Amino acid sequence: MITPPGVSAADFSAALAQFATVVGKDAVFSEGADLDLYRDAYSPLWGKAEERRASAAVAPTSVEQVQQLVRIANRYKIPLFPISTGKNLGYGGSAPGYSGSVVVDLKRMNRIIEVDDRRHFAIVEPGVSYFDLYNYIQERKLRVWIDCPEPGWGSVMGNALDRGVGWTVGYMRDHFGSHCGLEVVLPNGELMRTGMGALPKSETFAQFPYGFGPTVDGLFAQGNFGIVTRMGIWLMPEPEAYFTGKVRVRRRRDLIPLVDVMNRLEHSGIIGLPLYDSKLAHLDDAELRTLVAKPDVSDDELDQFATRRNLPTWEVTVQFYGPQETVAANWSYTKRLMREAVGDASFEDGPLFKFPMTAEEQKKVPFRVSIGAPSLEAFSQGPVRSRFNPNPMDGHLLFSPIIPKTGQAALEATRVLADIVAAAKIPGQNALYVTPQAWIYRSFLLVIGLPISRSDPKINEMSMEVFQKAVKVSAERGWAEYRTTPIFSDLVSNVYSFNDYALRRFTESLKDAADPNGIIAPGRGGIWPKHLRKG
Amino acid sequence: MDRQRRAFILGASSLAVTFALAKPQIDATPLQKLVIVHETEVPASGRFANAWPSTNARTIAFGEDVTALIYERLVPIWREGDTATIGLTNARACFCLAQVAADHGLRLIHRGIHGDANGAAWPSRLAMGLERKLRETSRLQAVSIHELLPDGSSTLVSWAMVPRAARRWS
Repeated sequence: MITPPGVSAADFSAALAQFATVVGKDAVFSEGADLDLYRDAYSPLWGKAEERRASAAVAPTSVEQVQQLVRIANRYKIPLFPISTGKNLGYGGSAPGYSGSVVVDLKRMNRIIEVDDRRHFAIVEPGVSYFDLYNYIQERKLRVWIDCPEPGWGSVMGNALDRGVGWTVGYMRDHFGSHCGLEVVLPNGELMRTGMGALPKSETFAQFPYGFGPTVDGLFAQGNFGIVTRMGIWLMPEPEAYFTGKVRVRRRRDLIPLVDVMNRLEHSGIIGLPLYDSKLAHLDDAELRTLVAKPDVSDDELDQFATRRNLPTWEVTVQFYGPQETVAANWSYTKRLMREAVGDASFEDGPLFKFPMTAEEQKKVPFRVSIGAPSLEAFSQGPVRSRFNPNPMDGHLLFSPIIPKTGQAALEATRVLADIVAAAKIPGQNALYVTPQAWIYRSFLLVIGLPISRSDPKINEMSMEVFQKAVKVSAERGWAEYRTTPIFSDLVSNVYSFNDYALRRFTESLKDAADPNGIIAPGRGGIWPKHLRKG
Repeated sequence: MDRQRRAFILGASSLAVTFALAKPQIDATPLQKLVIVHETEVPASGRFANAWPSTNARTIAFGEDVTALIYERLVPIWREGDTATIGLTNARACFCLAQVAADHGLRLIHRGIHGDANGAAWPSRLAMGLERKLRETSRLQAVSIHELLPDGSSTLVSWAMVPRAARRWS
């Protein structure tokens, strides 16, 4: 039996018994396959002593129960780790960040409290998945859209609080950025509401995020200052039409003007998420693999290869939302700007979809998350076994630094990261053609997926080494992760070191004041309670 | 805690199905209903579904994407709390199904890995053997959903999930 560190077996048993009186004994899981659900399926430390394991899990159904659980945890100094639907695969899943914690599984708190299709917001509990909210909207024929990640089985609230991202228009893709109002059980068991929620009888909880005075919502995103039990989230009005057009450019350095044009269009509100891609990123070609593995391969050499294969180096799918008249006009404008920037850019019209759509019509949209429809299509694609990749991944570890939103930065970052990946001889990576992602509206992310294997621990060791090297090398250039799995929280937190870690010291002082027993998610976001801090 | 190792089934060899002896105990509620999932892209899946020796089973088919299968067909059934679900599918479908089923109070009680077997008969033998084994098991126990499965178009997985309250198959 795993027990929380520093807690006697007798105290832990007593606490579990008290948890059971709050939530019912069928909602306390302390052994066997039930407890096994709270492991990180993608952990590179699977089966090792360092794997993060829960001592138990409890599943409340109401905020009052959460308050009681927190008070019991304080009494016995038991660390708690809240999860929503526990689907954060690649970033820790349903496992706690600190071994021995009791997972507070909020899945059973799954009420959709309100959806307003005139003011365009929803208010949800933690257990509401994107599928739940989407189906609620569809069943009632409300003219609003959600923005969801891929896959869509996660929690609306949980994803936002981990600063997850989506696929439609700018402000909607930043899921924490489009939240509005939180209800939180504080570490002392008190209930707090932020923003306009702090005003009794407020009807603007999900409209105006700030309330009066300083805002504290950010403390609960990737933080450990409480257990969030309710959240407002903005939705978008259902557009009349959705259209995509493709832009293709031939040369590597054409990415620079391409990104400048897309930035201008997106920051003007004319387009949604630009979906950058490169056919060369997916090409299973021996000559290309030899080229990208070559140190200091020049852009000219790579351009010549692309020319020989008659392939454009980069393409972007440009997404337009709105009335049919404006999407057509905006596509014309896009082409004009692109021709001015890259004379030999080529274009391809995509399909036009009009709304409202039936469920069957929606299935014809090539990439359904672009119209706010959740799916599990990501699991249909899976790693492909080939003669160059004889060991497909069992899971992945994502390295995803924030870089400047320019083509120059993307080209530089792909070279830096490609060198690291090539040195480690990771199969299946054409890292020089990894395309930037603009999920976070005003930034680029570069995402490198490192393989995780259950059968070969050497692959996991290699992936972890590469990850650690990538963090260090990126920090030297002013790039760092926006999100990571708990086993790397400290590593990533340690690069945010301005002025002798002034930010962390500040948040630690808040942590000590708000959570003196250090029971809420120790280590989350790199913030440890006093009794667990090193040095 | 004893733990039996999972057996691998290669080709058309005999069935060797194991169950983990994991706790906690599942309450004694016999299963009332059964759904068999048929993955249309996988011929063996259809032969498995057709060969299942039960008169009260219904078959639900799906194509490449499990999304509609899970959220439009299975989740409403799982919410009723009295239906077992079984299938012979690719590994990715099994992974998704097990994750979402766990959210709805189901537990995985069987998972077997099968290589790319030649011959049409093995899925039928698998279905009959698995049905007998489940029926003869005195107490159904859960296995981990977290054992990741080898990917590859030739890897199939037989699996069975039951509501948490179910202790016996029939």
